Amino acid sequence: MTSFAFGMGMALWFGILTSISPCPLATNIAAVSYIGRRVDRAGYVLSAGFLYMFGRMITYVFLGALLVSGAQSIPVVATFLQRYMTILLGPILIIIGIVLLGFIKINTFGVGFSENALQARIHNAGIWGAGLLGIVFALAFCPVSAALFFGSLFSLAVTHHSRFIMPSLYGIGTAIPVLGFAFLLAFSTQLIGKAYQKIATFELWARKITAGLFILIGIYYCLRYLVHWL
Amino acid sequence: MTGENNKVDYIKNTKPSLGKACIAIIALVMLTQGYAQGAEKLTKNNAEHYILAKQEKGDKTPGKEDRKVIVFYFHGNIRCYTCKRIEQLTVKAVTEAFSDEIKKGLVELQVLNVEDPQYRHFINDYQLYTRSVVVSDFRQGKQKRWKNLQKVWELVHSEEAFEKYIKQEVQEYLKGP
Repeated sequence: MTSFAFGMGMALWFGILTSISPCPLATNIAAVSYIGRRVDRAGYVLSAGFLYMFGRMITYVFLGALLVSGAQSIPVVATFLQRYMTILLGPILIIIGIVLLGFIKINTFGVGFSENALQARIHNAGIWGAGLLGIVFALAFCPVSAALFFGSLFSLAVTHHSRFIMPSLYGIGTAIPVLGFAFLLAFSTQLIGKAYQKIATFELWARKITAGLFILIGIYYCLRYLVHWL
Repeated sequence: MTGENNKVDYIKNTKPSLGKACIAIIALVMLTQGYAQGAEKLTKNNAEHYILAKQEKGDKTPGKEDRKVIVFYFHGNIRCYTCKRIEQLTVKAVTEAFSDEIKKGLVELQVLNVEDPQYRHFINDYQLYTRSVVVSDFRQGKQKRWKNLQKVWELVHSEEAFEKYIKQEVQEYLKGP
């Protein structure tokens, strides 16, 4: 049990180590801004944060289960995800950024949603979007995350016969620093906004900054992984 | 082979459940299988062929009983900060600790890009899943054993621990079974 508890601690640590390494820094900044952008709603930030964490968790559990059934596939899956997910990530981030800016309008097909109902739909999609973001960012392996997940974490999970707990803890570990910064950003901005009674203005700017960051990080990914300019 | 055997043993003893047979898994496996078949064809050029080809080209550095321990650093086209650091520390550790053995041809250091088609076979040969340091023991052109030094990723933030780890592993391979 002590050994298993130590293994659990290691799995969590490998996740944190992945998250604080330089190579996923750009996606972590995007995640922090996405989760923490609704400075006017504390409940939203918390829900989005936990959904982001859940998205990462289920991705690693799914991959772990898939690879335990065929360890020979590890080099194939790892190479495939590192090569193609990073290429896809650039355009995905740019599109999300444009949607957040409001340049792409969501087509309601004349169903006639009231403005409030439409806002509610976008609001809910935004929360679930955090979960999707967690899945996409977890799949976009960089050399560090690939090494720690396919190497260190997988060995640990195999040693302890743990298909669920170890990959889950790794997922939680990868999300902890992001959630910490997102909550800090959102609540400190909320405090300042309340003090100056300009919370709505702050929220508007937070959304624009998030959109800008997504577009910039998307361009960075396109230049680095799509056209190899960086 | 050392290293990954415990993973394979575990997998052999694990019975797959019905719950795993979902469409998404099948789709991903089918997708990766196609990719794997392409990669499999490349394994005809394995690590031993690579060494023999080098020797045929005249790179026949004499070793004790034609023995050679090769330390490979495998990278890709995109070079991240941590990857460069691992390469730098590996080169430093090997060249400083085994300078005599390098001169005698007992130890060799190879830095190769696995995205270069001629070296892509190493992904399958050594089951690579990221930028990796692999130590390999060759005798009379035959590879006797190899090990992926996967702890480099955990130790890269501590130069002293990293170099100690590389030196210990190479030393152990030099002593040999």
